[in-house]
Amino acid sequence: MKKEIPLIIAFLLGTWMILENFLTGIPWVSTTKEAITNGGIVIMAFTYVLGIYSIVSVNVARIKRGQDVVPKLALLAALALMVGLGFWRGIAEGSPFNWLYLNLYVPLQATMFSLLAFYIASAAFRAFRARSLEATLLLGCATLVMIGRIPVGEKIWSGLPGISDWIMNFPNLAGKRAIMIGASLGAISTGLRVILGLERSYLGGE
Amino acid sequence: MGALFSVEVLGAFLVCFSTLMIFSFLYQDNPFYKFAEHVFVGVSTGYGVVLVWFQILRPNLINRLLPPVDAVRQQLFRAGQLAPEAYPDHPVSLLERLAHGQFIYYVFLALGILMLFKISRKLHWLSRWPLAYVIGAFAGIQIIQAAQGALVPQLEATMKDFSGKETVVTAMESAGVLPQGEMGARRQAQVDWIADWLQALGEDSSRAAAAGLAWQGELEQRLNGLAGLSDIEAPESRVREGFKAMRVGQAAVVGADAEFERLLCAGLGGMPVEESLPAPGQLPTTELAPWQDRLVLVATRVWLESPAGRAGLLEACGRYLDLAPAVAAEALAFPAGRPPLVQLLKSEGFPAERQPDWSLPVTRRLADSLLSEVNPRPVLLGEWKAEQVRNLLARLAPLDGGYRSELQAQLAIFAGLPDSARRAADAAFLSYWRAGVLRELRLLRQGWLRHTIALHTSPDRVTPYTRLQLDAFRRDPAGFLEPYGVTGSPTQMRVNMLVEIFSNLLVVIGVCAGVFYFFFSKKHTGALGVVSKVGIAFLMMSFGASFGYTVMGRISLAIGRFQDLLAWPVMAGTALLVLIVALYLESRRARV
Amino acid sequence: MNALLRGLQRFLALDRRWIFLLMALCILTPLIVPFGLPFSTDPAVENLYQAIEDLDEGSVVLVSCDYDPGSKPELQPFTEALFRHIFRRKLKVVVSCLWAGAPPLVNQAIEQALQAEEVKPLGLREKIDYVNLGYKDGRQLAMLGMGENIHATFPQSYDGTPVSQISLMQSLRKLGDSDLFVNVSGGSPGTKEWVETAQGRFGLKMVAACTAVMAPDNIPYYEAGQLAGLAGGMKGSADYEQLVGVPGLATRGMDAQSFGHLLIIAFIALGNVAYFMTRGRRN
Repeated sequence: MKKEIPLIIAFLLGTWMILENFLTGIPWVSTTKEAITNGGIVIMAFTYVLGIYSIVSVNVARIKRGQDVVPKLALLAALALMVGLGFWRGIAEGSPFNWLYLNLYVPLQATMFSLLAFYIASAAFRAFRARSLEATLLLGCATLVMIGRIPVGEKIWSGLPGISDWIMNFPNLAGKRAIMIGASLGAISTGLRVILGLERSYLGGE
Repeated sequence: MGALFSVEVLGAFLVCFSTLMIFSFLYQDNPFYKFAEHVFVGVSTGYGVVLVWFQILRPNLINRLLPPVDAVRQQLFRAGQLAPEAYPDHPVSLLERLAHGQFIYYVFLALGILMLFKISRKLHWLSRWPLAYVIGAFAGIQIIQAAQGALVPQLEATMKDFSGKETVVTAMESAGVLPQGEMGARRQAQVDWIADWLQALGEDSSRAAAAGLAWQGELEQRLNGLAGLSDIEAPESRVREGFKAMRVGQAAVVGADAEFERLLCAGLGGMPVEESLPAPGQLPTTELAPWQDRLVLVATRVWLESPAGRAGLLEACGRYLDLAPAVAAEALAFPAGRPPLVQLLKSEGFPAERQPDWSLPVTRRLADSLLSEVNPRPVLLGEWKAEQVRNLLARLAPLDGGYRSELQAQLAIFAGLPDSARRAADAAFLSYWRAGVLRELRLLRQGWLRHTIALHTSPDRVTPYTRLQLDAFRRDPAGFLEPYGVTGSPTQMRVNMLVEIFSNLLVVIGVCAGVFYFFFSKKHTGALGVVSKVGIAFLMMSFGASFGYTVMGRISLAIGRFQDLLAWPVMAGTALLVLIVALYLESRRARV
Repeated sequence: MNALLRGLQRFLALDRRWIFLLMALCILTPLIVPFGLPFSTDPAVENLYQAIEDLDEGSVVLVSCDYDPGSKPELQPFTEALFRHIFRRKLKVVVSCLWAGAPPLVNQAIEQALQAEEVKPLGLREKIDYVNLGYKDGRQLAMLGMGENIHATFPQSYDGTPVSQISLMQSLRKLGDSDLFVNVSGGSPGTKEWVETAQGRFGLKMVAACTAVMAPDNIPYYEAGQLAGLAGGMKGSADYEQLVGVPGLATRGMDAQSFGHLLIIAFIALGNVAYFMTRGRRN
């Protein structure tokens, strides 16, 4: 019961998703497909509720233990503020919710991601060494691509963008295509394993 | 003072301050960074939850279980259970709304709620049901998509089109014709074009009369020529002669002087270029575009130096110039460096005020294009307003002779041609012209190039962009053709082609070696070792490319942040100051 | 010689904050004092531009904006130029988002495009000429749902108007009804998933703009003809801005991009030179 039902559900859904691809133009197939995909969208949305629960519980526990009280309180306050404003005044343009999104969420997230530009510079200085043939190939290609993609590179020598294009469209294409073919075969086999119940890690322990 | 504390200013300060709080981590870990980081987690989670409610749970679930009053009324109305006048005020009870819901969504609601049991210690196994739903569905989707969207197309792309392009070079040169397929397309376009014209003529009897005898003969000739393409191989056939003449005109359009001269000489007498022409530096300059001068000059030279070429000259430079050869020769002798058509008209004794306005560049270009029989008329006329057309028409009215009446007829047709027909004519011309250009440059590749030509020249594809392209082409022919791989000398083109073939070979080797490397999990020794080493080399090159792009992306993100800060320099400065002071105070407090 | 060795070793152990500072200066300086270096456009972006040019007036373009503020500097300039291009060509546009962070950014880009001087006189109206359908979770499930019936997947637009009341949506029932599909992608779900669904399965003509990190992975799709055009990263956005003729933030960022790259290349070179010299000594 605890394992069989989920395995049956996964088998039915997976098989259906494969079969419906070959059953086009049949009205009841379309209706079922529509219901199944839209049902999936709804079910996945519930994971947000789980997310909010785990964030609140973890942080409340920390606050109780007296760890990082100020930042944790700030987190909960920010969460409550966004949720409160959202439900109170809606999410339309010009609403306080939208204003906070544009003036707080956007800069915070964008800046968080942009920190990597600085760390990559530091890594370029300390870590990228042409220790072997493979590493040299990697660095060589990276350097040529970097310089070929910028206006200064074009100014230095007009042939650089062409070289960068060539690397992208041929050696890079070969490598990426090999990975893509490998990954597709891998995806097909894991998909089959899930449908046939051979892969059950999603069921967790017990 | 009010502006200082507006919502906008507050927003700007918030943007700058939160950005700098995160950036402060680059100096060292500090409470402000930590604060900002936590605020971010809180804000993003809150944002996500609100959005999921308003964008997913409410419209896709709640509204389906408990449809809004309006939706229920609509359903009732459609089912004929509600009169139109009762529609706005019809009361809908909660029960009625529930009854109109989609019951299958109770299943999804239940599955969604089961998902929440993940947090229960005893009943968490129930959350496996919705999980199995999602994971099972994705497993099925993944199989189909990986096969349909990645595996098959990528294998196909690796296997076919090995050399990338097929060339039809040398055969073209000797035969002087286009490959059958291109020819067919071009012929079709021309036939369509002519058919459109005929139709437009047919719609208006006065216009048909205006077209006159001059056009009728020409149309007949063209249609016959198009119909009888099989005789193209015959050395003296009319179609082939026609092509020769066209080639001269096309080369002139291309502006490839040397090529044009070579073609003209080869076509007219087989004389080497060096013997028959002056050096480029010695050519006189005129008011007209260089290629047009050159056309006339070269034609004159050939006329004077090669008796065999005289017939061809008239063919190329003015088939419709209904003049005695001596007059034409005089007109084309080019004594004072003036536009040839001006001279022509003057030599025939027309008073200046009855002549077209030559100060208009478009008039000059039109006249010269007619003279060189390049046939860019639709394009040039497309640039003209109907008023201008009528103006030129009036000015040309006193002229007579085959050429003039033809010009008049064309203008008359164009002045009143419906837009669609004009577009079709435009397209037909483009097809004609582009194919000609490529042929003259002795490179017509199949596959993507053919596709590109078709794309740019099919009648429904004439957009402002292609017209812009046309202008760009006139300014810089060599640069324009570069994307089509038609650049430089034949040797250079051959080298390019070899590089292309080599590169495609590289892709095949790289893909095979890379797949090999992934799929043989046994020890990579011997031949397998060599192949997997090659595979690794390709993978490394692709990782290098990815690394280069990653650097690019990360730097772009930093640029974006700095751009935002620089949008409010005062605010950013203030925020920076506040942050530095706060950091200083904080570090002092920590030390105490 | 030992002094040189020590010097190099000290150089290799340079406090990384100096590196950060150099990076910041390299980006900031060209933004304050721009050089405006010219650059040529990538053929893949030209093809993207041409794909939109090739559409007839009144065609419906479906744009899926799947990114969030994390990739805003790379993709927002593209989205802005895209809407301006679409509006100018008198095409109609329907926007959907599979990333929660996208809908407000989409609204911002639409607002900006509507304010452009060549667009303003056209008097475009929401829900007739353009509509933002908002956000849906569900990744490929949402894509498949849209392939079957967009009205069921997006029962209302971002602002809550039922699709049955949106005139633009009456001619767009499923993915296949659009004349061109454009994906603006900041990660997953994004270009890969859309190519496999919209193009592989429903056979739509598709173009994509993605972050620089994703661009090399999407090259095989472009080379195999599954994508008719591809713009990668801020450079791709700058190229597109150039083609549309509206140089914006991406174009203005290209000088800073140049200096940033040069600095990284210099760091790699210096690091390697110092490394090999000290290693040779050690051996």
